[in-house]
Amino acid sequence: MKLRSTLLALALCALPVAAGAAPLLAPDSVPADVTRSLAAAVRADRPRNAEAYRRVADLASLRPEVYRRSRAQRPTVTPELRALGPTALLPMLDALAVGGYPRALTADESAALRLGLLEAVGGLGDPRALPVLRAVFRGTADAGELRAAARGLARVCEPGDRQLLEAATGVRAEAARAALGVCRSPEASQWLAAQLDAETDAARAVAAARGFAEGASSWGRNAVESALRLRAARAMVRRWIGTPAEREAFGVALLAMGGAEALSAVREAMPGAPPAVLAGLRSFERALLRDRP
Amino acid sequence: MRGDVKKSIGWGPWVAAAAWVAAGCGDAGTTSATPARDAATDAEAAVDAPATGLVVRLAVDANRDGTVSPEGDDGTYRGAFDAQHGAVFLANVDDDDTDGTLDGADTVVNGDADALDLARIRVVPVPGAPDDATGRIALTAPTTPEVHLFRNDGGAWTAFHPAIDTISAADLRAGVELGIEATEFPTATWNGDVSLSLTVSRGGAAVGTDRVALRVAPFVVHMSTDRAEQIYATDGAGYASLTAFMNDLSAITSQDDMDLEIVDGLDSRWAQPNMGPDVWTQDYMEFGWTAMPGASGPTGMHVVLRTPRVDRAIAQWTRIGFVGPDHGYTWHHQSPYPGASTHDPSLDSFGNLEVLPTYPGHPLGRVFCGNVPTRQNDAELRAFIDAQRVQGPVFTVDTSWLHVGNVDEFTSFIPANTPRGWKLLVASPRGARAQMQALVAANPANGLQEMFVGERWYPLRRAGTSTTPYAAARTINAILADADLMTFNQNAQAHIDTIRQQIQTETGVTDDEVIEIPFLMWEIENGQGAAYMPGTVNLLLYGHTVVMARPHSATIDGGDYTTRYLQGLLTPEGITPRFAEQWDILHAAEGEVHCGTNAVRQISPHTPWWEVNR
Repeated sequence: MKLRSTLLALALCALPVAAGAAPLLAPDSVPADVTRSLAAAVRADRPRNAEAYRRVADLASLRPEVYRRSRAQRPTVTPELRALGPTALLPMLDALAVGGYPRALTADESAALRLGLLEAVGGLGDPRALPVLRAVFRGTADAGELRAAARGLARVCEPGDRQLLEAATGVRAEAARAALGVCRSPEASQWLAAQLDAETDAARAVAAARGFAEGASSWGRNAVESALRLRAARAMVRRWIGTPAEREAFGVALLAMGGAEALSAVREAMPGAPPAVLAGLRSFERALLRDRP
Repeated sequence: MRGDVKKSIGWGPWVAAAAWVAAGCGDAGTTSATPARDAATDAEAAVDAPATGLVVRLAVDANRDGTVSPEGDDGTYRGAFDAQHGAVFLANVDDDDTDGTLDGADTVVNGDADALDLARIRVVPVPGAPDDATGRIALTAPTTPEVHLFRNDGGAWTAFHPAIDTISAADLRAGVELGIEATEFPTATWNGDVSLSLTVSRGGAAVGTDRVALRVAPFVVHMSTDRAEQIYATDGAGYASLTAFMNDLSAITSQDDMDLEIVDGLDSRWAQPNMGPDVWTQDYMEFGWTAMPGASGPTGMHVVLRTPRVDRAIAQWTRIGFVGPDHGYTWHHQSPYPGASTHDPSLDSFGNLEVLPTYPGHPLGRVFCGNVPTRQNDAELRAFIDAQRVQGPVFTVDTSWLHVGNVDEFTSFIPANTPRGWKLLVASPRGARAQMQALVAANPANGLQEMFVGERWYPLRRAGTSTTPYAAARTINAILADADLMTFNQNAQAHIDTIRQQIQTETGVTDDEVIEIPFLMWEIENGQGAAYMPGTVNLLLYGHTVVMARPHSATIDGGDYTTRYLQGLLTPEGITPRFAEQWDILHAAEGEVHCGTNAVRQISPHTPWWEVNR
């Protein structure tokens, strides 16, 4: 049995997996030196990690007979790729930037696979993925891919990548801010709190609120110190009151952060609040109190 | 009251008509029953009535007692439509003679049963009509294309075409009975109101006229708290994972003496090669009803609304398998069906078309769905619901944080002894986390117990491949220690709390009338989530029974702790929870019991729709 599976793996390795397929990322989107280096790593990795390559090359959730039976009825591969674990890193990078996928894909399947690979690769927090993620973050305009690349960079959170995210402008700015919470670094949290205080663009302020909330989630790692949480919570409440068009987004961010500081900020804003505002604050208070043991 | 009538129809109350009726419907010398109408807006009112002595009258069931009389409130309010008065007719969208054609789609009356679906309009006898008198019926534009008229001659019905057909002097003297049907429900371009007039002429000159108002009955979506009459689910022979669910569902419904009808998901008319059955019975159709007043209570029909998704092959069943006597059909979608980036077909699944049950101002409830500018469902569908005027405007919430994006993923309702008669059930990641924490606090060994023992992700692999499904089992400790999972759940809870508050603000439901159903969610892709633990809020309700997903939680103290908790939570509410196996076929594919089932419920169990004055 073991021999048979080994032979099967070798046979699959021998198939023209890469020869007939194009990488999922556009060839000119990843620097040539990155691709060359990656190709060399894949060549070395493939013989000793054949099963992972086989699984990445034969995703159940990319088969129409599987995804058409899901409730969303569209291809979604992130969970399956995520479940493959760290051994799938190079096979996934191979599919993204070197060898591609060994069968023709529809446009929806291709988009889903590209997104899934970026999300799964980014989720591993492996520095070997950073050059590809940087290239995608700089080059793509697709909102989902931007989000995935930004979060992948933030998960490792090298100082240079944190600065890259903080400096992002245009279509990248919101994805970068929302992703910075994944850094869970004091510097990133400080920067996001400052953005929450000062950012004049409402959409970017919302992104900063989301990012901060993720890094400060009271259910999650909750690594942000209390004073900064309170400062950010106050800013979210202030924005919630003063930005009607984005009220729901700021409210969700406040609740997503949660904790005693969010409750304090809500209660501080109650005295003298107009009735409509007070009703909203009371609903936050009730929701936050439900979180208490 | 008459002021209301005047306001609702745009012309004067039928004061003189009432006087005419009071005088004995005789030779009062009026030729028009519309004396108070504004001549500037209705030239017919200016006809020289006294000179002819003819009394021209139409009669409809304006008092909604199921009979038509020229007298009393039928006469007084024949031009009105408000909460108390006004004639109603049906969109004749069923198929009483089972010929495969909707009864309203042709211009024949398809038998006695079909005749019962016609609202009656009587041309009241004009005893003194001279031989050269001619009656002509007119329907106000733009309604004509959607409305059919028929004439009844001793039980023989024939199409009556207002543009061609006239009423002879002899028929005017004897009186004529007409029947009216609509081919469809109100839409964004037709509000369903009809004004029908009769003008009697001599030698080309009008000598008398009358006008009546009618409104077509709307399509009303069932509330999930309405009494269920028939449960539906979709089967597919040979699919073991589906068999497990169908066996449980069949046993549970049998236990409660509830009818279960099976849609064959592998019927060659809609099955896709190698795709298996489309098991999402909730998503490809929505059941509702329509009705008009009858002599012994409302008369109407069940109606199925087909999903806007034109590519949903199994939705053909709604037209082929459901339509029949008193079982109608309607379908509304944008054409061409949109492919724009902001439109998401998943939001056109009817797990995303639910009804907030009755609350003040909304006696028939209010339709709600997930829809935001960046992720929309079919605009034509929302416009159709709004056009019915009794369950709208559609209440929209943000479900963009969910992968499927349907409101049934986190809300449902149960009957309850509350001011509104129901309680809101909401998904509660908070509750699930707190339960796990409490279990570990009570006994650290509980943290070592595994959830989802023996279950798998991606079980729907194609036959004959070596693709491996992934074991789902995980200890409680591992789940609680997964910071990414917990962070995602807090964000999901924030969205749920926000929508819960929106619903409470809208309906007046108090915190005591909200029940949190504990289960965790997880991210699928792009920040969008779905149920991680089986989503037990996504349930089938009939009577005081709810059918939920088998939770597959850890075994603690000899049993599944979530099952035990839900039983303890719902039993005091008078609700019996029953649990069906559905992990492989539904849960692992991002759905649960509600998604895999549907229910036809009682017609018009509440305030008659015509008393909803909009």
